[in-house]
Amino acid sequence: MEEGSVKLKHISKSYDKQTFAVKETSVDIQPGEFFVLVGPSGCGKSTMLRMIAGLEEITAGEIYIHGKSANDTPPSRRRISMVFQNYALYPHLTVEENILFGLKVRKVPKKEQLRLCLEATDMLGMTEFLKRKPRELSGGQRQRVALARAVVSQMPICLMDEPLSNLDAKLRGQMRTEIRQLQQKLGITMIYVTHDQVEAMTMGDRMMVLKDGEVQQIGKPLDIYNNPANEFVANFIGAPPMNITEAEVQRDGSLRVHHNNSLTLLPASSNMKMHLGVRPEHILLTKTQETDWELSVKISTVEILGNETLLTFEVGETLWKAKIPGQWHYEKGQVTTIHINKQHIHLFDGRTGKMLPESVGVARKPAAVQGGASI
Amino acid sequence: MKRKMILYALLTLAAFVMFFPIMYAFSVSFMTSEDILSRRLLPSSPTLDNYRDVLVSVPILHYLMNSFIVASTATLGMLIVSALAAFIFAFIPFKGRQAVFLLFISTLLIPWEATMIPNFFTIQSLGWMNNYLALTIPFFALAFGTFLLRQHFKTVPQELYEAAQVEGLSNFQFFYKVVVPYAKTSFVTLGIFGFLTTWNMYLWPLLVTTNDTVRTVQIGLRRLQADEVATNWGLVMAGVILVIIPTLILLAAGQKQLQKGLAKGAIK
Repeated sequence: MEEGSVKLKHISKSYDKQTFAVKETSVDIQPGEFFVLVGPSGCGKSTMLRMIAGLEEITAGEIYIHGKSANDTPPSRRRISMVFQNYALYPHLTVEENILFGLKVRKVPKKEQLRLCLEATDMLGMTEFLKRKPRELSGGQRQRVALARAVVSQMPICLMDEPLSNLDAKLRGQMRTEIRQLQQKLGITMIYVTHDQVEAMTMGDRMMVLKDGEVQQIGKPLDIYNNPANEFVANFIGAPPMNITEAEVQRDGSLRVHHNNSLTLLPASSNMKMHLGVRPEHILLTKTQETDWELSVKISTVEILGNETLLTFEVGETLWKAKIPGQWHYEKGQVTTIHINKQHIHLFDGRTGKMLPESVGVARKPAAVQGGASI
Repeated sequence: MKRKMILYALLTLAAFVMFFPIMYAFSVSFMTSEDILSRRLLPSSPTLDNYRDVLVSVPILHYLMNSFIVASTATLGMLIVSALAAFIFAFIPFKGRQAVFLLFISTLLIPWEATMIPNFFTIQSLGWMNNYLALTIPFFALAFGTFLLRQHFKTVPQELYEAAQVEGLSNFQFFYKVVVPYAKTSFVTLGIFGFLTTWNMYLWPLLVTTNDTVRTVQIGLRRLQADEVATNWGLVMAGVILVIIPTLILLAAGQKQLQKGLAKGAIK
């Protein structure tokens, strides 16, 4: 296998020999790929990154880095660089010394050090701060120093552990683009940990969604968004999260949501308890050619954000959210009708939460199936 | 304004009370015997005779030199040993580390005097009597120093250790390239503490020295005090002032460093 690749084979980690922090994870990360590990806090994503870095021992399984088994390789021999959440800059060293610290340890020639340092700081716009100490820098600048340190190391793999979580929202958006561009320019493999689904969606070539140490789904961001493997992924990816409601399968084989119009199900769907999910952005307020299902709902809150309006309404006992472009004025308690295209309906197994196979689902109009490349 | 005045008045008074013995010693060191006997506060005709006499009557410069060698060596040794021990306790996990550390710290509960006799026998059987080794090595391993440094080392973010590991630093490189500069303030504090303690040591040097070769200045001072005839207090005080000067210089120099360190932490 090529340099820059990371392969995990049934990796598990347990701290107390009873519960798993990471359970039976296998993945192939390609050279030059931007791979995102995403999940809520405590899901094991940082542990997994630290195992790849070699900072954490692996309880079971095998890890291959650059195509070679790396289970017993110390961090310094894995040829990786790492950016930490709190940047881990040495407070007693200047920016320049911080950046060159690793190169000095590896005894890179002075001339080469200087060239790499200037190149990296130039790329990140930090040249004028070289003589400053980390405490004299703002959060964003410290972040850039940490990035520059990873850049000069010239390692084929870079690991990042929630590098943007200490920055304010605006800066975060900017750094997101910068990190992505940097990775593409350098052509390195990036393994990036975040709890922010926006970062995962916008930055990653592929991502792995984790929950309680178990892999929920691995795939391209859009594939995961369009076809979430289970209710957890559907809920976690996308903001606001997908609306999920219990649905009753009628005796006649149709599906009904809280006394609304029933949906005809495909033949294989009989006798199943199901959960029905719809993304907030797929809910429309007006009937169009696309829509083929409608629900009567009671508005409970209206948040007008300027460019879009967030509506919360009651569908039976559950609350749904809808994201509607434009500014809409509704009264609390007002009853209205929402319109949905059946192809945007996701069905999950009521017990396991898993997405139901294609053979099970809502019968659609032929036209909708034709146009529905996304599902 | 009034509050401030009262405050300053009280502080001045307190400072005066604190410094009176030293100021009086300073004053006495310039007095003639007659002045001292008539219990004057200030010398009637200041004289340097006492200083001249003290330099002639006992090898005070030799004692000062000894004290300096002993205090510096003991301080340096203590800093090195304590720092290495503290580093292990703060960064290198091993089974039973907590227990070993507690055991280590619990030695703080044993007064030095209680271990004096066994220590003396050890030194004697090693043949270290009248040797610098006897005055320095027993003070290298200091539980207090280890504790102080370990507490400061603990504040070094774990990420720095991990970042260093990723960059390929060995534990020892991490220790002297990152941890030591990081905890500089504690090193200065502990260094001053160690130096002053060893400088002021009296009982132990008295036990392990039988002649002047390595004897320290505190015992030298005792020698100025006559046992049978009347003591020339002017002479003794001149000696005392000579002994105090190095410690004052050290404090003044160290304080600057300490303040620098403290201010550094405050801004961050």
